Amino acid sequence: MMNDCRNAEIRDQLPDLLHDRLTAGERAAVLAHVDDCAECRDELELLRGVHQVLISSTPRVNTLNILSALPKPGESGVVPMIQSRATRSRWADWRIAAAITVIAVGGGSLALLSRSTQSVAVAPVPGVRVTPAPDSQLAPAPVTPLTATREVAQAESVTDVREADLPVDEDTPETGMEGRLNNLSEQQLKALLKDIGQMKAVPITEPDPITIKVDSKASSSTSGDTEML
Amino acid sequence: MSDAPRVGTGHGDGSGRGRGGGGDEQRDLELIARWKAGDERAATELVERHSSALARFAVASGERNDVEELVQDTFVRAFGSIDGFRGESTFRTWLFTIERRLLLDRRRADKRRRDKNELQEDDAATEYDALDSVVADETQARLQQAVKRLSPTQREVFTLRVAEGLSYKEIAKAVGTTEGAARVHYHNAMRVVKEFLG
Repeated sequence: MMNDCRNAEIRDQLPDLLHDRLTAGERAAVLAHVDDCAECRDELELLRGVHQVLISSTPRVNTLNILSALPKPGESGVVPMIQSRATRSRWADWRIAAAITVIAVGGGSLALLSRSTQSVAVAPVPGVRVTPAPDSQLAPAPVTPLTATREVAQAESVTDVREADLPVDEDTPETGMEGRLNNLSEQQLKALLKDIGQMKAVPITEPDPITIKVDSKASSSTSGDTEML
Repeated sequence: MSDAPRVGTGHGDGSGRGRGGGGDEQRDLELIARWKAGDERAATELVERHSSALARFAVASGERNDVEELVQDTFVRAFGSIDGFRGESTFRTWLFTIERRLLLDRRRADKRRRDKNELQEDDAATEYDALDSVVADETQARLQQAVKRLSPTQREVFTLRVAEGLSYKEIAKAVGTTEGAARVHYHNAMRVVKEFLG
Protein backbone atom coordinates (compact mmCIF):
# COMPACT_ATOMS: atom_id res chain seq x y z
CA MET A 1 0.00 0.00 0.00
CA MET A 2 1.12 3.52 -0.78
CA ASN A 3 2.48 5.30 2.27
CA ASP A 4 1.62 8.84 3.28
CA CYS A 5 4.23 11.53 3.49
CA ARG A 6 4.46 12.92 7.01
CA ASN A 7 4.42 16.48 5.77
CA ALA A 8 0.70 17.12 5.92
CA GLU A 9 1.06 20.67 4.68
CA ILE A 10 2.75 19.60 1.47
CA ARG A 11 0.20 16.80 0.96
CA ASP A 12 -2.57 19.35 1.31
CA GLN A 13 -1.02 21.42 -1.44
CA LEU A 14 -0.62 18.65 -3.99
CA PRO A 15 -4.08 19.17 -5.55
CA ASP A 16 -3.33 22.91 -5.70
CA LEU A 17 -0.10 22.12 -7.50
CA LEU A 18 -2.06 19.96 -9.92
CA HIS A 19 -4.45 22.83 -10.67
CA ASP A 20 -1.77 25.50 -10.75
CA ARG A 21 -3.30 27.37 -7.85
CA LEU A 22 -0.07 28.06 -5.98
CA THR A 23 1.90 31.25 -5.88
CA ALA A 24 5.34 31.18 -7.37
CA GLY A 25 6.95 30.74 -3.97
CA GLU A 26 4.60 27.99 -2.86
CA ARG A 27 5.04 26.16 -6.14
CA ALA A 28 8.78 26.20 -5.87
CA ALA A 29 8.67 24.88 -2.31
CA VAL A 30 6.27 22.06 -3.14
CA LEU A 31 8.19 21.03 -6.23
CA ALA A 32 11.41 20.97 -4.26
CA HIS A 33 9.82 18.66 -1.68
CA VAL A 34 8.23 16.39 -4.28
CA ASP A 35 11.57 16.03 -5.95
CA ASP A 36 12.94 14.41 -2.78
CA CYS A 37 9.84 12.53 -1.58
CA ALA A 38 8.78 9.27 -3.22
CA GLU A 39 5.46 9.18 -1.30
CA CYS A 40 4.51 12.63 -2.56
CA ARG A 41 5.53 11.73 -6.10
CA ASP A 42 3.32 8.65 -5.93
CA GLU A 43 0.45 10.62 -4.47
CA LEU A 44 0.76 13.31 -7.12
CA GLU A 45 0.73 10.65 -9.83
CA LEU A 46 -2.36 9.13 -8.21
CA LEU A 47 -4.07 12.51 -8.19
CA ARG A 48 -3.33 12.98 -11.88
CA GLY A 49 -4.81 9.57 -12.64
CA VAL A 50 -7.98 10.19 -10.61
CA HIS A 51 -8.32 13.60 -12.21
CA GLN A 52 -8.11 12.01 -15.65
CA VAL A 53 -10.76 9.41 -14.77
CA LEU A 54 -13.17 11.99 -13.35
CA ILE A 55 -12.75 14.29 -16.35
CA SER A 56 -13.15 11.51 -18.91
CA SER A 57 -16.31 10.19 -17.23
CA THR A 58 -18.04 13.58 -17.30
CA PRO A 59 -21.38 13.22 -19.06
CA ARG A 60 -21.88 15.56 -21.98
CA VAL A 61 -24.45 18.30 -21.62
CA ASN A 62 -26.05 20.22 -24.44
CA THR A 63 -25.22 23.84 -23.72
CA LEU A 64 -27.65 25.07 -26.40
CA ASN A 65 -30.57 23.56 -24.49
CA ILE A 66 -29.32 25.24 -21.35
CA LEU A 67 -28.92 28.62 -23.02
CA SER A 68 -32.41 28.51 -24.48
CA ALA A 69 -33.85 28.00 -20.99
CA LEU A 70 -32.06 30.91 -19.37
CA PRO A 71 -33.92 34.08 -18.46
CA LYS A 72 -33.10 37.21 -20.41
CA PRO A 73 -30.83 39.84 -18.93
CA GLY A 74 -32.94 42.15 -16.86
CA GLU A 75 -35.26 39.35 -15.84
CA SER A 76 -33.00 38.41 -12.96
CA GLY A 77 -34.20 39.24 -9.49
CA VAL A 78 -37.26 37.09 -9.92
CA VAL A 79 -36.28 33.58 -8.97
CA PRO A 80 -37.80 31.39 -11.66
CA MET A 81 -40.19 28.70 -10.60
CA ILE A 82 -38.53 25.40 -11.16
CA GLN A 83 -41.40 23.16 -10.25
CA SER A 84 -40.35 19.84 -8.96
CA ARG A 85 -42.17 16.90 -10.39
CA ALA A 86 -43.95 16.39 -7.07
CA THR A 87 -45.07 20.04 -6.94
CA ARG A 88 -46.50 19.88 -10.46
CA SER A 89 -48.44 16.76 -9.45
CA ARG A 90 -49.75 18.38 -6.22
CA TRP A 91 -51.07 21.49 -8.05
CA ALA A 92 -52.79 19.32 -10.64
CA ASP A 93 -54.46 17.35 -7.84
CA TRP A 94 -55.75 20.55 -6.20
CA ARG A 95 -57.18 21.84 -9.47
CA ILE A 96 -58.97 18.58 -10.11
CA ALA A 97 -60.36 18.56 -6.57
CA ALA A 98 -61.60 22.15 -6.93
CA ALA A 99 -63.29 21.40 -10.24
CA ILE A 100 -64.99 18.33 -8.78
CA THR A 101 -66.26 20.38 -5.83
CA VAL A 102 -67.77 23.11 -8.02
CA ILE A 103 -69.47 20.60 -10.27
CA ALA A 104 -70.75 18.65 -7.28
CA VAL A 105 -72.25 21.74 -5.66
CA GLY A 106 -73.78 23.14 -8.82
CA GLY A 107 -75.04 19.85 -10.18
CA GLY A 108 -76.33 18.72 -6.82
CA SER A 109 -78.48 21.80 -6.39
CA LEU A 110 -79.91 21.44 -9.87
CA ALA A 111 -80.63 17.77 -9.36
CA LEU A 112 -82.42 18.45 -6.09
CA LEU A 113 -84.50 21.22 -7.63
CA SER A 114 -85.54 19.09 -10.55
CA ARG A 115 -86.66 16.25 -8.26
CA SER A 116 -88.71 18.53 -6.13
CA THR A 117 -90.85 20.06 -8.91
CA GLN A 118 -93.95 18.16 -7.70
CA SER A 119 -93.32 18.41 -4.02
CA VAL A 120 -94.07 21.32 -1.80
CA ALA A 121 -90.67 21.71 -0.32
CA VAL A 122 -88.11 23.49 -2.42
CA ALA A 123 -84.55 22.82 -1.53
CA PRO A 124 -82.24 25.04 -3.43
CA VAL A 125 -78.65 25.20 -2.39
CA PRO A 126 -78.61 27.97 0.12
CA GLY A 127 -76.74 30.96 -1.03
CA VAL A 128 -76.81 29.97 -4.68
CA ARG A 129 -79.23 31.30 -7.29
CA VAL A 130 -78.67 30.13 -10.82
CA THR A 131 -79.50 32.62 -13.52
CA PRO A 132 -79.23 32.00 -17.24
CA ALA A 133 -76.36 33.57 -19.11
CA PRO A 134 -77.38 36.51 -21.35
CA ASP A 135 -76.59 34.58 -24.49
CA SER A 136 -78.34 31.46 -23.33
CA GLN A 137 -80.77 29.77 -25.63
CA LEU A 138 -83.12 29.03 -22.78
CA ALA A 139 -86.48 30.73 -22.70
CA PRO A 140 -86.54 33.48 -20.16
CA ALA A 141 -87.90 32.38 -16.81
CA PRO A 142 -91.48 33.58 -16.32
CA VAL A 143 -91.93 35.88 -13.38
CA THR A 144 -95.10 35.10 -11.44
CA PRO A 145 -96.23 36.29 -8.12
CA LEU A 146 -95.66 34.03 -5.25
CA THR A 147 -98.65 31.71 -4.83
CA ALA A 148 -97.42 30.30 -1.55
CA THR A 149 -97.63 26.75 -2.83
CA ARG A 150 -94.10 26.05 -1.87
CA GLU A 151 -91.88 26.38 1.09
CA VAL A 152 -88.89 28.42 0.37
CA ALA A 153 -85.65 28.46 2.23
CA GLN A 154 -84.09 31.61 3.52
CA ALA A 155 -80.48 31.97 2.60
CA GLU A 156 -78.16 34.05 4.67
CA SER A 157 -76.42 35.32 1.59
CA VAL A 158 -76.84 35.00 -2.13
CA THR A 159 -74.19 34.28 -4.67
CA ASP A 160 -75.26 34.62 -8.25
CA VAL A 161 -73.88 31.81 -10.32
CA ARG A 162 -74.20 32.42 -13.99
CA GLU A 163 -75.06 29.40 -16.06
CA ALA A 164 -72.10 30.02 -18.29
CA ASP A 165 -69.87 29.92 -15.23
CA LEU A 166 -70.81 26.37 -14.36
CA PRO A 167 -67.70 24.44 -15.19
CA VAL A 168 -67.85 21.54 -17.52
CA ASP A 169 -64.69 19.61 -17.02
CA GLU A 170 -64.72 16.48 -19.12
CA ASP A 171 -61.33 15.46 -17.80
CA THR A 172 -62.38 15.43 -14.19
CA PRO A 173 -61.80 11.97 -12.83
CA GLU A 174 -64.74 10.01 -11.52
CA THR A 175 -65.76 10.91 -8.00
CA GLY A 176 -68.11 8.05 -7.27
CA MET A 177 -71.31 9.91 -8.33
CA GLU A 178 -71.60 8.04 -11.56
CA GLY A 179 -74.81 8.66 -13.49
CA ARG A 180 -75.48 11.86 -11.62
CA LEU A 181 -73.50 14.97 -11.40
CA ASN A 182 -70.21 14.48 -13.19
CA ASN A 183 -71.83 12.92 -16.20
CA LEU A 184 -74.22 15.79 -16.79
CA SER A 185 -73.41 17.36 -20.12
CA GLU A 186 -73.91 21.02 -20.92
CA GLN A 187 -77.16 20.19 -22.73
CA GLN A 188 -78.45 18.28 -19.72
CA LEU A 189 -77.60 21.15 -17.41
CA LYS A 190 -79.41 23.57 -19.71
CA ALA A 191 -82.44 21.27 -19.72
CA LEU A 192 -82.47 21.28 -15.94
CA LEU A 193 -82.33 25.04 -15.90
CA LYS A 194 -85.20 25.17 -18.33
CA ASP A 195 -87.25 23.01 -15.99
CA ILE A 196 -86.48 25.35 -13.15
CA GLY A 197 -87.52 28.31 -15.24
CA GLN A 198 -90.86 26.73 -15.97
CA MET A 199 -91.69 26.23 -12.31
CA LYS A 200 -94.91 28.03 -11.37
CA ALA A 201 -93.79 29.39 -8.08
CA VAL A 202 -90.68 31.56 -7.92
CA PRO A 203 -89.39 32.37 -4.50
CA ILE A 204 -89.30 36.08 -3.85
CA THR A 205 -87.58 35.83 -0.55
CA GLU A 206 -84.23 34.45 0.21
CA PRO A 207 -84.37 30.77 1.14
CA ASP A 208 -83.50 29.56 4.63
CA PRO A 209 -80.17 27.84 4.96
CA ILE A 210 -80.53 24.10 4.79
CA THR A 211 -78.26 21.13 4.75
CA ILE A 212 -77.90 19.35 1.47
CA LYS A 213 -78.12 15.63 1.90
CA VAL A 214 -76.08 13.63 -0.53
CA ASP A 215 -75.91 9.91 -0.68
CA SER A 216 -73.13 7.95 0.92
CA LYS A 217 -71.32 7.33 -2.35
CA ALA A 218 -70.73 10.97 -2.93
CA SER A 219 -70.17 11.97 0.67
CA SER A 220 -66.53 10.96 0.72
CA SER A 221 -65.64 13.14 -2.24
CA THR A 222 -67.90 16.07 -1.53
CA SER A 223 -67.63 16.21 2.21
CA GLY A 224 -67.36 19.68 3.46
CA ASP A 225 -69.33 21.13 0.57
CA THR A 226 -72.10 22.38 2.84
CA GLU A 227 -69.53 24.16 4.94
CA MET A 228 -68.33 25.93 1.84
CA LEU A 229 -71.72 27.49 1.37
CA MET B 1 14.18 18.76 -11.17
CA SER B 2 14.33 16.66 -14.34
CA ASP B 3 12.62 13.77 -12.53
CA ALA B 4 9.91 15.95 -11.15
CA PRO B 5 6.54 14.72 -12.37
CA ARG B 6 4.66 16.84 -14.81
CA VAL B 7 2.28 19.11 -13.01
CA GLY B 8 -0.67 21.13 -14.15
CA THR B 9 -3.83 19.58 -15.49
CA GLY B 10 -3.67 20.76 -19.07
CA HIS B 11 -7.25 19.61 -19.45
CA GLY B 12 -9.42 21.34 -21.96
CA ASP B 13 -12.68 21.62 -20.14
CA GLY B 14 -12.36 25.31 -19.70
CA SER B 15 -11.55 25.22 -16.03
CA GLY B 16 -7.85 25.90 -16.26
CA ARG B 17 -6.77 28.56 -13.86
CA GLY B 18 -3.92 30.91 -13.43
CA ARG B 19 -1.93 31.40 -10.30
CA GLY B 20 -4.36 31.26 -7.38
CA GLY B 21 -7.30 31.03 -9.78
CA GLY B 22 -7.73 34.80 -9.72
CA GLY B 23 -7.77 35.17 -13.47
CA ASP B 24 -10.72 32.83 -13.88
CA GLU B 25 -12.68 34.50 -11.13
CA GLN B 26 -12.11 37.91 -12.64
CA ARG B 27 -13.26 36.64 -16.01
CA ASP B 28 -16.46 35.28 -14.44
CA LEU B 29 -17.17 38.63 -12.79
CA GLU B 30 -16.67 40.43 -16.09
CA LEU B 31 -19.01 38.05 -17.88
CA ILE B 32 -21.66 38.44 -15.21
CA ALA B 33 -21.47 42.21 -15.45
CA ARG B 34 -21.73 42.04 -19.24
CA TRP B 35 -24.72 39.73 -19.06
CA LYS B 36 -26.49 42.02 -16.60
CA ALA B 37 -25.87 44.85 -19.04
CA GLY B 38 -27.68 42.88 -21.74
CA ASP B 39 -24.96 40.90 -23.51
CA GLU B 40 -26.45 37.43 -23.94
CA ARG B 41 -23.20 36.08 -25.39
CA ALA B 42 -21.71 36.43 -21.93
CA ALA B 43 -24.16 33.75 -20.76
CA THR B 44 -22.89 31.44 -23.50
CA GLU B 45 -19.35 31.69 -22.25
CA LEU B 46 -20.37 31.28 -18.61
CA VAL B 47 -22.36 28.15 -19.42
CA GLU B 48 -19.52 26.69 -21.45
CA ARG B 49 -17.01 27.44 -18.71
CA HIS B 50 -18.96 25.76 -15.92
CA SER B 51 -21.37 23.17 -17.35
CA SER B 52 -18.85 20.32 -17.34
CA ALA B 53 -17.89 20.96 -13.74
CA LEU B 54 -21.55 20.97 -12.74
CA ALA B 55 -22.13 17.71 -14.61
CA ARG B 56 -19.14 16.15 -12.84
CA PHE B 57 -20.37 17.28 -9.47
CA ALA B 58 -23.80 15.86 -10.20
CA VAL B 59 -22.23 12.49 -11.00
CA ALA B 60 -19.99 12.68 -7.94
CA SER B 61 -23.05 13.35 -5.82
CA GLY B 62 -24.56 10.11 -7.05
CA GLU B 63 -26.97 11.48 -9.61
CA ARG B 64 -27.77 8.85 -12.19
CA ASN B 65 -30.55 10.29 -14.28
CA ASP B 66 -31.22 13.66 -15.86
CA VAL B 67 -27.80 15.12 -15.19
CA GLU B 68 -28.32 17.60 -18.02
CA GLU B 69 -31.69 18.64 -16.58
CA LEU B 70 -30.07 19.24 -13.21
CA VAL B 71 -27.31 21.31 -14.77
CA GLN B 72 -29.88 23.30 -16.74
CA ASP B 73 -31.99 23.93 -13.64
CA THR B 74 -28.88 25.09 -11.82
CA PHE B 75 -28.05 27.66 -14.48
CA VAL B 76 -31.66 28.81 -14.74
CA ARG B 77 -31.81 29.35 -10.98
CA ALA B 78 -28.41 31.04 -10.96
CA PHE B 79 -29.13 33.47 -13.77
CA GLY B 80 -32.57 34.14 -12.38
CA SER B 81 -31.08 35.23 -9.07
CA ILE B 82 -27.75 36.57 -10.27
CA ASP B 83 -28.17 39.64 -8.10
CA GLY B 84 -27.80 37.31 -5.14
CA PHE B 85 -24.22 36.50 -6.13
CA ARG B 86 -22.08 38.85 -4.08
CA GLY B 87 -18.66 37.48 -4.99
CA GLU B 88 -17.95 36.15 -1.49
CA SER B 89 -17.09 32.84 -3.13
CA THR B 90 -16.17 32.04 -6.70
CA PHE B 91 -18.98 31.88 -9.24
CA ARG B 92 -18.37 28.16 -9.69
CA THR B 93 -18.59 27.50 -5.96
CA TRP B 94 -21.86 29.42 -5.91
CA LEU B 95 -23.14 27.24 -8.77
CA PHE B 96 -22.16 24.10 -6.86
CA THR B 97 -24.12 25.35 -3.86
CA ILE B 98 -27.22 25.88 -5.99
CA GLU B 99 -26.84 22.53 -7.69
CA ARG B 100 -26.48 20.68 -4.42
CA ARG B 101 -29.62 22.30 -3.05
CA LEU B 102 -31.57 21.33 -6.17
CA LEU B 103 -30.21 17.82 -5.90
CA LEU B 104 -31.36 17.50 -2.29
CA ASP B 105 -34.83 18.81 -3.25
CA ARG B 106 -35.00 16.29 -6.05
CA ARG B 107 -33.98 13.45 -3.74
CA ARG B 108 -36.61 14.40 -1.16
CA ALA B 109 -39.28 14.44 -3.85
CA ASP B 110 -38.12 11.12 -5.26
CA LYS B 111 -38.11 9.58 -1.82
CA ARG B 112 -41.70 10.70 -1.20
CA ARG B 113 -42.71 9.24 -4.52
CA ARG B 114 -40.87 6.00 -3.84
CA ASP B 115 -42.51 5.64 -0.43
CA LYS B 116 -45.86 5.54 -2.17
CA ASN B 117 -44.90 3.07 -4.84
CA GLU B 118 -43.45 -0.37 -4.74
CA LEU B 119 -39.70 -0.59 -4.97
CA GLN B 120 -38.80 -0.77 -8.60
CA GLU B 121 -36.14 -3.20 -9.64
CA ASP B 122 -33.81 -0.56 -10.94
CA ASP B 123 -33.89 1.31 -7.65
CA ALA B 124 -31.72 -1.41 -6.20
CA ALA B 125 -28.87 -0.48 -8.49
CA THR B 126 -25.91 1.24 -6.97
CA GLU B 127 -25.93 5.00 -7.05
CA TYR B 128 -22.45 4.97 -8.50
CA ASP B 129 -23.61 3.59 -11.84
CA ALA B 130 -23.08 6.95 -13.43
CA LEU B 131 -19.34 6.39 -13.28
CA ASP B 132 -19.62 3.22 -15.31
CA SER B 133 -17.97 3.99 -18.58
CA VAL B 134 -15.52 2.42 -20.94
CA VAL B 135 -12.03 3.19 -19.71
CA ALA B 136 -8.97 3.15 -21.83
CA ASP B 137 -6.79 0.94 -19.68
CA GLU B 138 -6.70 -1.19 -16.59
CA THR B 139 -5.11 1.52 -14.45
CA GLN B 140 -7.95 3.90 -15.12
CA ALA B 141 -10.45 1.11 -14.46
CA ARG B 142 -8.90 0.47 -11.05
CA LEU B 143 -8.92 4.17 -10.22
CA GLN B 144 -12.56 4.29 -11.20
CA GLN B 145 -13.32 1.36 -8.92
CA ALA B 146 -11.39 3.04 -6.11
CA VAL B 147 -13.46 6.23 -6.35
CA LYS B 148 -16.64 4.16 -6.35
CA ARG B 149 -15.75 2.82 -2.93
CA LEU B 150 -15.96 6.27 -1.34
CA SER B 151 -18.91 7.32 0.75
CA PRO B 152 -21.19 9.95 -0.84
CA THR B 153 -19.68 12.80 1.16
CA GLN B 154 -16.13 11.62 0.62
CA ARG B 155 -16.79 11.33 -3.06
CA GLU B 156 -18.24 14.83 -3.29
CA VAL B 157 -15.31 16.37 -1.43
CA PHE B 158 -12.72 14.28 -3.25
CA THR B 159 -14.15 15.20 -6.65
CA LEU B 160 -14.28 18.88 -5.87
CA ARG B 161 -10.70 18.82 -4.61
CA VAL B 162 -9.13 16.64 -7.27
CA ALA B 163 -11.23 17.29 -10.38
CA GLU B 164 -12.03 20.96 -9.77
CA GLY B 165 -9.15 22.04 -7.55
CA LEU B 166 -11.39 23.83 -5.08
CA SER B 167 -9.89 24.93 -1.79
CA TYR B 168 -11.21 23.43 1.43
CA LYS B 169 -12.96 26.70 2.15
CA GLU B 170 -14.77 26.59 -1.19
CA ILE B 171 -15.60 22.91 -0.76
CA ALA B 172 -17.07 23.63 2.67
CA LYS B 173 -19.39 26.25 1.16
CA ALA B 174 -20.41 24.01 -1.71
CA VAL B 175 -21.32 20.96 0.37
CA GLY B 176 -22.49 22.75 3.48
CA THR B 177 -19.81 21.76 5.95
CA THR B 178 -16.79 23.28 7.65
CA GLU B 179 -13.32 23.74 6.26
CA GLY B 180 -11.88 21.34 8.81
CA ALA B 181 -14.46 18.67 8.03
CA ALA B 182 -13.78 19.05 4.31
CA ARG B 183 -10.07 18.48 4.93
CA VAL B 184 -10.81 15.36 6.99
CA HIS B 185 -13.16 13.97 4.35
CA TYR B 186 -10.53 14.52 1.66
CA HIS B 187 -7.78 12.73 3.52
CA ASN B 188 -10.08 9.89 4.52
CA ALA B 189 -11.02 9.53 0.87
CA MET B 190 -7.39 9.47 -0.14
CA ARG B 191 -6.75 6.73 2.41
CA VAL B 192 -9.63 4.62 1.05
CA VAL B 193 -8.35 5.00 -2.49
CA LYS B 194 -4.79 4.09 -1.53
CA GLU B 195 -5.97 1.04 0.45
CA PHE B 196 -7.94 -0.22 -2.54
CA LEU B 197 -5.07 0.25 -4.93
CA GLY B 198 -2.74 -1.49 -2.51
